[in-house]
Amino acid sequence: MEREKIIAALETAFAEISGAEYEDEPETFAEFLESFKKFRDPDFPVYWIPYTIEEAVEALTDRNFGWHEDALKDEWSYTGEFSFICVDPETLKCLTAERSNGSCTVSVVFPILSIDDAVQVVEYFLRLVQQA
Amino acid sequence: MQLEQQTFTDEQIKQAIEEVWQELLQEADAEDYSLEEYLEDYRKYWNDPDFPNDIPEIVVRTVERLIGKTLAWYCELGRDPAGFTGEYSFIVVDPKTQKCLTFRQYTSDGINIHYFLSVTGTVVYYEDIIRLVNKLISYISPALNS
Repeated sequence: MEREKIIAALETAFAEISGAEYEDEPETFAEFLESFKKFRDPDFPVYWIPYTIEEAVEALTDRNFGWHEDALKDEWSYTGEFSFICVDPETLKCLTAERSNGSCTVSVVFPILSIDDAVQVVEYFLRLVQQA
Repeated sequence: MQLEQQTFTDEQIKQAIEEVWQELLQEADAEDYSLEEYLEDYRKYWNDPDFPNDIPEIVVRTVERLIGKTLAWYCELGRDPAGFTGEYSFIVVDPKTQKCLTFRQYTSDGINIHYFLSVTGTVVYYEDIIRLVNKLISYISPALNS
């Protein structure tokens, strides 16, 4: 899928989630990620980031999924990494489950500190949905 | 394996918990430390972020032992500004089929993949672990059987 289309879906999703759609000079998702990268403020509404990704994936696939997301932290603050679990409600299949060396993990972790990172994560989920 | 009709007695669950606890001690190369002692420490230090919370591991491994099946799982500890709330949020997946066993759909977009288990007042005794094991088995059984 074209990068521009993914970015447009991310920006639309972010405007809805952050309430920016009602502001005169709304902050873009790209700007929001830049601020997060710079400050990593513990009071930052950090979950807007995974919610925006999930919303964009659902809009681009025109489907709903079951999600779990977590913003990872170290002793000081957010690390900029997010873990996701995604389940397809039609098949109940956990799309993020991966088997290796005899064990199975259910979550995937990505750093998301820029719009490029966000695009890559959306592309990853679009591939998962396509493969499923 | 059909689990809907299968129930486990408290004694069976207790025995499985004990076996799991011994397994965990061996893996940690720990000295003799009974589950009762661990739970006593848990009741004192449950809200200390450095205290190792083994409850999810004990619960899922006991379920695995009882149903004779390995599970893939994720557990998040519920937190509020004061710390751990005593809530455990489990996501359980069958590694063979990759089916999410804790999935529930209530409306077209009302999808939930977690199963929340809580321990009142975050004070955990042996019987609480038995209760958590029983509840998790009941919750995942329909999806395991379908």
